[in-house]
Amino acid sequence: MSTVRRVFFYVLALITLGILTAGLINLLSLSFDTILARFTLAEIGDIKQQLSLGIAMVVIGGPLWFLFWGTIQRHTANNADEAGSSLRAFFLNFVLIVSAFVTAVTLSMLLAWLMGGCRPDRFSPGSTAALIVFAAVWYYHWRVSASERPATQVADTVRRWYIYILSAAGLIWLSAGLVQLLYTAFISLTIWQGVMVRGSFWNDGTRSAVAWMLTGGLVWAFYWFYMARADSKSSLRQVYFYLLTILGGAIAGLIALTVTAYKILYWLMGGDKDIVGYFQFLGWSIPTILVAACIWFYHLRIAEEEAATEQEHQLSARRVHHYLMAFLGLGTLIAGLIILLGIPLDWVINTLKPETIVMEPGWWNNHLSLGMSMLIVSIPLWLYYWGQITGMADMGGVVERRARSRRIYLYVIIGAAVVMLAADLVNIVYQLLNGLLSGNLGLEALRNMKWSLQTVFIAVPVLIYHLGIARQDQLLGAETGAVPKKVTVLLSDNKSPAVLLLEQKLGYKVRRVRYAGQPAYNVPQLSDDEANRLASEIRAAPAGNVMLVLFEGNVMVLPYKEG
Amino acid sequence: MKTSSRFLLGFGIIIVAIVAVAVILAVAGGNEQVKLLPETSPEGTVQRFLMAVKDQDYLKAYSFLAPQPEQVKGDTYEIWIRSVQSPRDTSSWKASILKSTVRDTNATVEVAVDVLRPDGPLANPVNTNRVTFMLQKQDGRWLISQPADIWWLY
Repeated sequence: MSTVRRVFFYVLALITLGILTAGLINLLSLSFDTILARFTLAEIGDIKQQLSLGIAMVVIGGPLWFLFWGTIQRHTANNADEAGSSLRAFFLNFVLIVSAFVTAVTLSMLLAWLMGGCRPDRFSPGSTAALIVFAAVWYYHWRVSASERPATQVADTVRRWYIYILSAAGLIWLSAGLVQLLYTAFISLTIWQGVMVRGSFWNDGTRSAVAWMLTGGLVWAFYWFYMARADSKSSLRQVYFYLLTILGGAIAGLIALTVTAYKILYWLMGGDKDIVGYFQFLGWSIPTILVAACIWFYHLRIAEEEAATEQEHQLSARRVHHYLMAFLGLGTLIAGLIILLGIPLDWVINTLKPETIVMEPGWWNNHLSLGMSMLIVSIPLWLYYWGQITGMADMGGVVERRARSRRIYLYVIIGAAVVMLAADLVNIVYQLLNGLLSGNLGLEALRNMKWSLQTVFIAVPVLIYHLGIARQDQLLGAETGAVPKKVTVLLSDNKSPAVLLLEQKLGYKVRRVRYAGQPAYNVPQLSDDEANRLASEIRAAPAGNVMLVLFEGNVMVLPYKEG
Repeated sequence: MKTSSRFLLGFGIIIVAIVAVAVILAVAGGNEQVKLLPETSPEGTVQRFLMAVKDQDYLKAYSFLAPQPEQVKGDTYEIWIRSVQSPRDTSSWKASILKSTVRDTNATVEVAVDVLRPDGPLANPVNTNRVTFMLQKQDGRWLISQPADIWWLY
């Protein structure tokens, strides 16, 4: 079957599945309404319309789906390549993601209804019907997907995306539900004085929070502990660890910590006299800090444990984590300093021309609390992680300085500082020239360039410092040989230990192409010395592209040029 | 000591200096009293209107607004109070006069209202709204004809 024909069948199977699903939800929803006798005479006409539409969708969509899906399944039954193809993986995982999300959302609604005492007047026939139909769609496609093994790297990656997206969603639902529940419990405490009327703790919001906790917990447990088990070697798992859970947890925790510090500082400076109402923010900030810390710590431990099997992977994982945390700390530190710099500049403007006619008492304290809270949180964080990074660079020498995470960290900061400086200087020069040309160069121009002056003052030392580090790295040889060769390996086993060892020595991934001839040949084993020698040979190759053939104990390194 | 360490030390000293200056100025600024402008001037009316809004004394603030023309007479205090009492957060603000012009019984006062509302890292937390108050002199008093609502505070 040609690719176009395959795409045609999968697209039509998807569309007809959508029609069938919508029709079934419609009919099931009407059935629930009928059982609960919810119709009024005025609605009978509408119901007949709904019934007709539901039947039409099922009668037309059902056979068409059976036809297109049946054709695909017959073609797949005799074709192992089709069963593991990228197109089929896209189709199956797309259906799985959509149906899993709808099932989770509607399950949470049903659970909230069940916990609310199953009141018939609050029953939602539409969402319950959607739950049943989408759960069935998900189960069927999950069984189909589970019985097939992805044959290509793309199919494998698509399946991983599905698993980690759902795992992350489950974790977010679980955490958000937990924080919401703790916050509701906190503000429901009887310690808060001045409350005239208090509603019940077990209200719609609480039930919804518990329902999301249960749903999120179920989804996360299934996808993380069952579906994502034994996947420690995948790159997407590292993305999930470091960019989603560890960084996400750190950002959420830092925001909550900064807000807590800011509110407490503002209160200490006499910003708000309403103690009773003011400290209710602790009800969400402390649970957020605790939940975020648990997510951060748990995933960091797992990432380190999984990387511990290989020294190089362990070092790389630790390095990525250190640079991410240092980046967060530095960003918050810069933001805090910029805000604090606004105070002297504001003071200068006010002193030059006292034009302020109204000022809230907390104006200066609010500025100070905001800037200080950012500094309190960020300075220890940045100092700790930057200290660790400096130690690693001193001990690791040029290899450490050449590490991709270090290069990315340095160039992202240098790039951001350059862009910030350019934007600020454009504004400063524009305001100066505009003021000069219009004969109005004074406080108005200073007022308009105040934010740019604040950011320039901080961006300059940050840029100079990191440029100095980058220059030092360059002098030590961190930039030489950093441009990797495009290596393609011809082999029969995607997960060959020889190729993994070679990737480790090269410091980057190689492209694998599979030998399709019969019988499959054996990939030779490489010793550490042989892998080092091979990596050196690849680096020294006279072309940017290298084809590597590993064949029955022989290794051929073939440099080539495109075109 | 390495160059990078020396630079880091310098950076630390700059941080300490910024914090010290900010604390001193914020503490000194907290006690600063704004000068009350003459009540009979357009600037004085705008100042007293803003101060009443700051103190949430809406009845007093309303007394600085000029009566509405006949065609919009329905715009009474009850309607006005509903528009200004919408829930607002605890953000701080200050107002400064930029420019004022007086012509016979009409005047305009241009005011910059700085509202402190943190909005994510590296975003300017101070949002400046420029508002031009239009005033009319009625029975020897300057009253604000426009704007009546307080959009500039949000």
